[in-house]
Amino acid sequence: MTGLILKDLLNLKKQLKIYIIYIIFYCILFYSSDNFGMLSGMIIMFAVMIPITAMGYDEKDKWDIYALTMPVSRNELVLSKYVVGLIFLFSSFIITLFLGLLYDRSMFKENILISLVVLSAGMILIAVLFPIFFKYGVEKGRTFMMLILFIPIAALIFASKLGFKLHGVEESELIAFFHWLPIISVAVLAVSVLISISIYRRKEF
Amino acid sequence: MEYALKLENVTKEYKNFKLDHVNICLPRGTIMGFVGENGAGKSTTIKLIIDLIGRDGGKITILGKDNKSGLKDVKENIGVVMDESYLPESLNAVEINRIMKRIYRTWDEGCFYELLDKFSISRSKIIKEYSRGTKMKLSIAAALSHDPELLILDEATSGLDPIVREEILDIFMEFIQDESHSVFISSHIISDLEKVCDYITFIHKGKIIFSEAKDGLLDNYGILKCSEDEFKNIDPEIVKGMRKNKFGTEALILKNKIRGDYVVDKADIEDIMVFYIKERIQ
Repeated sequence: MTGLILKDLLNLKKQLKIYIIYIIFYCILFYSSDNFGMLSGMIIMFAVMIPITAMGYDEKDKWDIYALTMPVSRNELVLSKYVVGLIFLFSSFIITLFLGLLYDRSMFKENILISLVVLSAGMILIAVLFPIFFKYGVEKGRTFMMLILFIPIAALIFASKLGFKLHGVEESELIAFFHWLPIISVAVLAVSVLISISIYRRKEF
Repeated sequence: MEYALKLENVTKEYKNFKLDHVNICLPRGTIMGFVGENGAGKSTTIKLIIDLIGRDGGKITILGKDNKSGLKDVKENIGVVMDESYLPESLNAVEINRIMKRIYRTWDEGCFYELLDKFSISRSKIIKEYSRGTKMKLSIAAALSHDPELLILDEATSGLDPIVREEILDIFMEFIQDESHSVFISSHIISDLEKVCDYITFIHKGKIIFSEAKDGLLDNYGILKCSEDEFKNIDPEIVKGMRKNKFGTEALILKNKIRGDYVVDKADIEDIMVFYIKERIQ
């Protein structure tokens, strides 16, 4: 499996350079605005896109066909993509922690929590998106991805326009939920792996 | 006899195509050519062998192991070259080597670089910039560099110029010098197969028409040339296909069974295939 991961990392070399430029760009952009949550959200979002780019390359190269002629199992192909996803998520998490420290030391505790919440959101996003990409491929999957990302946002905007408000949720409850979020996201990710494996096992080339 | 590859009653059904009870036996130490027109089922058969697609029925044994249960281990010992390279286009040969080293237990770096030099493949260029021939040669180099016992090639020589094809066929001949090595090669360039193969398997519309030793085929079949009246006297049992033109009748026949004084020319594999497909007597 290390061979498969190495292949993705080598494939993504160019992408990584762009990613680093993006991070620097956003750091400068957000430096004055004092919106750490937004910045870390952007960084994690890019990290989620990277393994999807890798899947896009594979689809274009028809790499899966080649890989399956080698001593590589279908499960390993699926797992390697999750590993690549987690590698980038965690690297990004470490970057956001570091930035949190730089931003405002007095807020460091809050910033850690924000980073954790954003990391969890990234993991849940991967967990939701990967099975779709394994099932429909990257081309079609992107359309689904847009729907998945925009329906909740649209629903929220719509709801707020109609005058719904979040009430009854105390700030302390929200923070308690955020503390549980990392554990929830790991569980969701585990379920996602199982779903992807069962999708990929039936795939024909 | 020990078989490198054995397919028994392998069946796969699609909406408008059926691979129908395919039986193929490739003895160890031999090269088998797998021929048939486009869409006859060659690629489907090869994909079934590697389990890229699931079969509906039958049994496939590669190097003595079932291709469902023991596939991962078996794949250490087979080299597969598909009709295109399918290697990551943005990588170069050195990076491919680094990846393969981590995938094959038996990966032989020295052998790989030796083959690259032999094929004059650039190490630093990315694969996207290679010509089609070079891409195929790289695939073949990769397939040969982990000490395989069986090579499975799907149209690996199609779309290449005659010089490159010749080079590649030479490599297969060299590979087969080791008596434990075997090759299963599909192609519609029949002249290539005629040069190197011991066995020819002919598939037509998802069915195996024959799977025989090449020499036997060439000995058994002949092209009969005669007039229409003469043709009426020929036993229909021995006629495998015929066509009429303004000079008379041509027929593919079992030449050893013909009685009487007729003009019978040698039939090559291509003749046999064309007569079977187009001029088949129903």
